[in-house]
Amino acid sequence: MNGQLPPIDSEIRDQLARRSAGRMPESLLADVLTAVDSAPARRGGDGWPRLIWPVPRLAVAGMGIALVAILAVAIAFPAVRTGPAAPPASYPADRALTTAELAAVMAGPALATNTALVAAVTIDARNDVCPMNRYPTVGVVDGMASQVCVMGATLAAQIQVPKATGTFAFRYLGPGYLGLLGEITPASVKPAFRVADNWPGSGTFLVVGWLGADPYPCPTYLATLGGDPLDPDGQDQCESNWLADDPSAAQPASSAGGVLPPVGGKIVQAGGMRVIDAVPNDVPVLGTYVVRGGRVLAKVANLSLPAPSPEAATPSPTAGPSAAPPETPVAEPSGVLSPAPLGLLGPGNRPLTEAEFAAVWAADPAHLAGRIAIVKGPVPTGFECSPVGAADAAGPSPGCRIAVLDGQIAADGHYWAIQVGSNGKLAIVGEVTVFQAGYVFTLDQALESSGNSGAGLRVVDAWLDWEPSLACDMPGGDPLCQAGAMWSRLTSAPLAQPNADAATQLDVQLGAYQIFGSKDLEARPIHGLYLVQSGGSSATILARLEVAAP
Amino acid sequence: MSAADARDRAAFDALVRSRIDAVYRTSLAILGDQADAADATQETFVSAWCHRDALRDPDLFDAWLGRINLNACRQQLRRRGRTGVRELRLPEPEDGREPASTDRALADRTADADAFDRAFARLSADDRAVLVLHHLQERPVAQIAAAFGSPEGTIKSRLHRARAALESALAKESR
Repeated sequence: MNGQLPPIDSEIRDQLARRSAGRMPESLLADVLTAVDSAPARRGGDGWPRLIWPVPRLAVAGMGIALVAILAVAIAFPAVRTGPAAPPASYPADRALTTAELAAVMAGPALATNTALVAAVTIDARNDVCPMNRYPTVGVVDGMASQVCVMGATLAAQIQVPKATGTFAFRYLGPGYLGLLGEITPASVKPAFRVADNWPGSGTFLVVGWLGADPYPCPTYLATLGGDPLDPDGQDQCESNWLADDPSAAQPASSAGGVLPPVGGKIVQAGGMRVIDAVPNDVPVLGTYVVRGGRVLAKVANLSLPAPSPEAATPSPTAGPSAAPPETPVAEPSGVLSPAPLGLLGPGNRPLTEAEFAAVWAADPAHLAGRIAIVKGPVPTGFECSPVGAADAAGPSPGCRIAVLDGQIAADGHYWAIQVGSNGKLAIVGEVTVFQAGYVFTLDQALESSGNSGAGLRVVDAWLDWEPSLACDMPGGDPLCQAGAMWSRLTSAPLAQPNADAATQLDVQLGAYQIFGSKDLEARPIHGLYLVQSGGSSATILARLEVAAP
Repeated sequence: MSAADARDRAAFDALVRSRIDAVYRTSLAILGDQADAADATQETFVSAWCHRDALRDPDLFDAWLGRINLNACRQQLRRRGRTGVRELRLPEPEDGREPASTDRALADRTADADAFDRAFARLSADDRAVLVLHHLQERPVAQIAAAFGSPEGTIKSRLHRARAALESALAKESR
């Protein structure tokens, strides 16, 4: 059947002609030519950057513009090392968290999601222990009191050595989970650079300085979006962002259509992290910033550091070069880490009952950290669990955790996706959509439901598969190419089957197959129940669900 | 046009002027939204300009540009999915009148267009693209294969699959 081309279908042709009919926007040609004007020129030595910002909707071009601007400013202002950054001489400006401090932070109360932090630690490159998250697994942090998983923004974040020791920038994703922003290239004296320093030509590094912004008039095409917290790519909406050591330094007069930073400052892209870290743009903000490729990725939070726990007590190093290897790990993981369970359901694919959920929690509470369970309300609050092997499971036991619902109250009888925290708290991810036939949708039913009811959480019975993307003959590093290596899909039938022509497909997030399917690309497809956050023509898989062991 | 000319800005501007309408219409057919199509068009040409050194054979410019355009459309669909925006475009009355309930033909056309757009929105970006290139633009399979960077056999298979997926989606929408 596939040897012949299908004939041209006049009905399809007419409908597609209708979709593509109408006048092209009159300004589009001018917009395109202006955007090409603004695209990075590869001839160096043009002196001051001439920034033109007529069309703010172009993220790809914007990134290139910022990169050129930074390079040009660096040329125009020969860098002079002016010594270490100004006080305060404390975390995060002058040093990274130690392993013991990070262990204490991770064992303490949950931080706000996406809190950025910097720590000198060793990451054990294990991708078999944290298979359930929205990100690919990078490994686990050595020396933590309980398992702390490190997740990467993309598959490219994998560590190529068994153990990587260094200073890393993270975002706190949840109890037991850190997201990797990058390994920090330290300055020679302190971990962070000043703005006036010569910044590394590549890699991720810290900069202490003032982040400011200058607005400029422009039409607005896009709502402000932050992008992925581990790879913020939000646009600088009608503003030019800069980092400066002295925000009050004289600012050159803006050129026609362009904006320049204060003298000594450097233009950066910061639109994404401003949204994620809630950094205002009306006044310059002093901080320690994670920077890569001319883009500010995060503002490191000023944590109130807890005292290291007794079992994690190790002399804390004083301020010093963060390039030094961290101290001896304070607590090696006991034994071999076993594969963590995936998202959890009850027997027969029904939601867990309150009692079942309590039992699963009791069996291995630390192991469930970060996992999502489907539970029929009421969601348990305040129940006491017992450690494995306890003779009297009904009674309180030493070391037992108290589960506390953190967030809205889950109504009785409704189905809820609950995320388990390692700090004894449960967080509601959201209410699971149900329909007359139950709550496990086929892919077709899910698409119909999302088309009628909008975005929401749905449990979908489908195949997770992938296809190679378009070949790309552009140089490596191009954002279009980076996103084009592998396209994961949920399908209603395996794509390789002869009768798969009519299979319904739904695009899911980049690398979803390797996150929720298998590291072995040839093992596809993976049939299962997936917890899906749907919206429009694509969706995000939050969990692959499995029946909880009794 | 020689490679040297293609790298020249003036020549590139001429290429933009001669191709922008086709790129925009391809984007619009795939994406179904004017703003998205304009963004994809702009991304296409900026990316082509930025990476013009990657075009080693100027004779392959159109296939190369088409490939970049497809990637831009895919990116646009991803962004739209992330922001949860969903738009439907309805046909405008040819005489500018508002649709009247008594105008059955127009109502039917509107319903058909709505059903088609909803069904088309169910398809993946690649399925949409291959249908546009074949059924609307009637490109030879070799050109489609070049734009996708895939073997011709793969394109034929994808065409059948995309067509079947569209029919399946249309059937669901007509229920």
